[in-house]
Amino acid sequence: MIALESVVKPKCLANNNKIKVFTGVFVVVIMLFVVSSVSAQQTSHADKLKTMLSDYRDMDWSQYTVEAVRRRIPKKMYGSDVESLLSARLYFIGSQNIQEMQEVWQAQGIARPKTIVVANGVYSVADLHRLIDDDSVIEKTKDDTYLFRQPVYVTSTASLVISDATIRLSLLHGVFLVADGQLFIADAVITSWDERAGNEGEREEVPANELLLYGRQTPRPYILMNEGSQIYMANSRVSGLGYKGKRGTFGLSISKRPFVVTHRLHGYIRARAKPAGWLIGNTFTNNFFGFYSNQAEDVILLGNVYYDNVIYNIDPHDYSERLIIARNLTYNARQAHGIIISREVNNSTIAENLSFSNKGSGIMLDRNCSNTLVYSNLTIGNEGDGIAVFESDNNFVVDNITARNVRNGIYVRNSDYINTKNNFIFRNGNAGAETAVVDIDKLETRNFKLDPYHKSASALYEGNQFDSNLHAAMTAKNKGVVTVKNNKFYNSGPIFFGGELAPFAENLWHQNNGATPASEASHIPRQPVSP
Amino acid sequence: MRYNFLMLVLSMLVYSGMLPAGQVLKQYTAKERQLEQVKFSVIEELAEEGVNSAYGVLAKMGESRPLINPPSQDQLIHWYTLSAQSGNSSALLWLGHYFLHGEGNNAGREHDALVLLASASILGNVDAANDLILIPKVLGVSYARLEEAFHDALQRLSNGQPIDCSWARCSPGLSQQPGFVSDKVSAKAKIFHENWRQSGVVKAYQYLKLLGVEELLAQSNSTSPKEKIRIKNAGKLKKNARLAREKRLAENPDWEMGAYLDRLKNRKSSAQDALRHYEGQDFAQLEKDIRHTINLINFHRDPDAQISYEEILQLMKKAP
Repeated sequence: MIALESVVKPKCLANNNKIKVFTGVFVVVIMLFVVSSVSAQQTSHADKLKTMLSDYRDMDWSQYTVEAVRRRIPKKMYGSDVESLLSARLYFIGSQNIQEMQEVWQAQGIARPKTIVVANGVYSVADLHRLIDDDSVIEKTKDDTYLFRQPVYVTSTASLVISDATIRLSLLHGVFLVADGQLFIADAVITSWDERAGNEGEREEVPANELLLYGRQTPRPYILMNEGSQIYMANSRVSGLGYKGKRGTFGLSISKRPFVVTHRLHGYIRARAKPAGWLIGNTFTNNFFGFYSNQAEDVILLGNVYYDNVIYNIDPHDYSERLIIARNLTYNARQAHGIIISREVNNSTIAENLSFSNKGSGIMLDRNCSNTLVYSNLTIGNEGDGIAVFESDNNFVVDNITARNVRNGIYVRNSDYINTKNNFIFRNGNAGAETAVVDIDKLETRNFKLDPYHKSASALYEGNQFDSNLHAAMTAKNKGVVTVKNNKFYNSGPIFFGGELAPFAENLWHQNNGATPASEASHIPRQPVSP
Repeated sequence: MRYNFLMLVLSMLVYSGMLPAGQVLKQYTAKERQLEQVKFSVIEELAEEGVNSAYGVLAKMGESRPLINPPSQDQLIHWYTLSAQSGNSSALLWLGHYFLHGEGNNAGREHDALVLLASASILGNVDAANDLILIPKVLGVSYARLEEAFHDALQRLSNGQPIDCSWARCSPGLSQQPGFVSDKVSAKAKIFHENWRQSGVVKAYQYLKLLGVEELLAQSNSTSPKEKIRIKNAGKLKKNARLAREKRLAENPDWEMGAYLDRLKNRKSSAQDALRHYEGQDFAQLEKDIRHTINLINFHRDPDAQISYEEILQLMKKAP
């Protein structure tokens, strides 16, 4: 208003008053609009959380067991449409994937690489071996152990059953398993295989900062489920797969490509539905990623163990939806996070997982993921944060235990409307919870058109218990907005409210309404700061 | 003041989402579109002057290039039909796929589509032959239907008619020349038929495989030992080049990056020291919750693949 008055001349006073009134009314309208939208947002948040929680708690877990997957496996095998065709002619399974394998094929002296095409039927591995009838393509090395020396492509008209078998995908022959149809895997082992060494093959040494650069690694075998495909997998072990390629080459991937208008066969393939699957009670180790998805839907990861995978243990990506990542054990991701969902992976649930000792964070929500319920997880002893929410609005972090992580228990970065409720945030290396705005404009690895972000962060902390976090219970940086309600604070020190929150400690304490600093839960002497 | 007021209105519009804040991705510049449109106009003139094969190019451009005025799907089908009429096998292939997709009011025309693809392959289009081989596998079309379509196509082409509007239900506006017969097409079809007869292969599908895929296979089998060594060496060279680059990097490292990574690797912060100090009592406090979560996980695992609390605790304690 001062600025307005200084530019208006005295002879225009009448006009000036009118404009003042008009502007005043306008500002009031805007404020009402903002206040109503925020309050509506909060109400809808509470309802949304209630629905998500009840949906999750009401799940019938008995239908998601190893036995349930075994029951789904087709009993009747039929069909004889299995043959080896030139890989180059299968242009629709991913020209980039074929091109990348050329290095391996050429090194092996394979001039015209071929792929086993499985169509029109339901086949077991023994069927493939019988129908191909060529030991240089599929060799039965022991009882129920098969060495594949050619890639396998399961078309949309076929299902492949890998049950009670060990599948070795030859490293030297550049083998992969791509499916547009159904894949049933139970009680099986699938590994890469180095015939010379007689093991799954050492990974070549690549500097850590080049691991995610394209073209630095020799291609390794992988499993890729394409659009329209389904995978049901239980009590199996997958190891040694994956490398950094252009698409879905990371280990076991479930991926749909963006639809491109084309009128040859990829048109039909790409127009198919988003892929889906159940992975229950499996073990994934020493793969490039433990799990990867791109535009997948309704995938269920339950009771799996992921460890020692090169980059991430679980990495659903790009526009995947309605995933349930629950009751998994993930540890020792060698370079990054235990569980990360990234780039608009929405309406998903990450619940009751145990994620520990990962190089990065235990659980991370990244690049515009929204409506995710992070519920009742344990994130312990990770080298990054326990639970990190990066550039992702409208998420719920509820009933988790995040303890002994080297950085923060919960870290909210450039994300608004984060509802953190009833978490136990215990002895983390930095703060219990940090809410921060961070300028990542200079981040060279990021495409800001694809992954836009805003420079604001806000979180509601309600009913959480902050205990013994090493630097502060709660902190904020660069105008991160924090709302506190009914939290309990114990022993965090040297201060409960650090960073930019420190000057507002008293206000926050009052706002928290009823929280009492108590030291009875621990024998460690209470830190001398209390608002 | 007027400026302030305008800014206020603008900010409100942006806030309420009425103005998109620069999120629209622009893929082609106006100049690029203009250039494509000019190229398109040149081909259009050629087509109008009676160069039938130009229609195929026109349709392909209309389908894939960023034009200012993109043609409608009916128009594209019309152009492909005109081009196919003159025996252009690529146009027959694309038209076949349009029919197979059921686009442009062509739903349920699987047989017609297969005939078009078969025609294209008889006229020597390897892509069409390849697609015909894969269609039963990928789309589940029966081999018997494929055989039927193949015979229809061969008969039509032998008569010199790649497209017959009374049969192909050409798009509106297409004026089929009455009694249009291409001698070139009929000659090609006769040669194909003769070769097929001589090959002794009974099924058209099998013969197609021989032409479209097995022919290439035969080439690979006939690769000379010298050629095989060359291919092998090319692969090795590619790998060696990458290994050499990595070696160079190792010998002349980026010291700054190296130092940074070393620091990361060997970092032992005061926080880590503190966490180590409280390890015993912390795990005792968390034991109940860890056990509970492990039980939940084990519920979904086979009895032989259960995980135990003790095993997990050891792993947790091993963490840096």
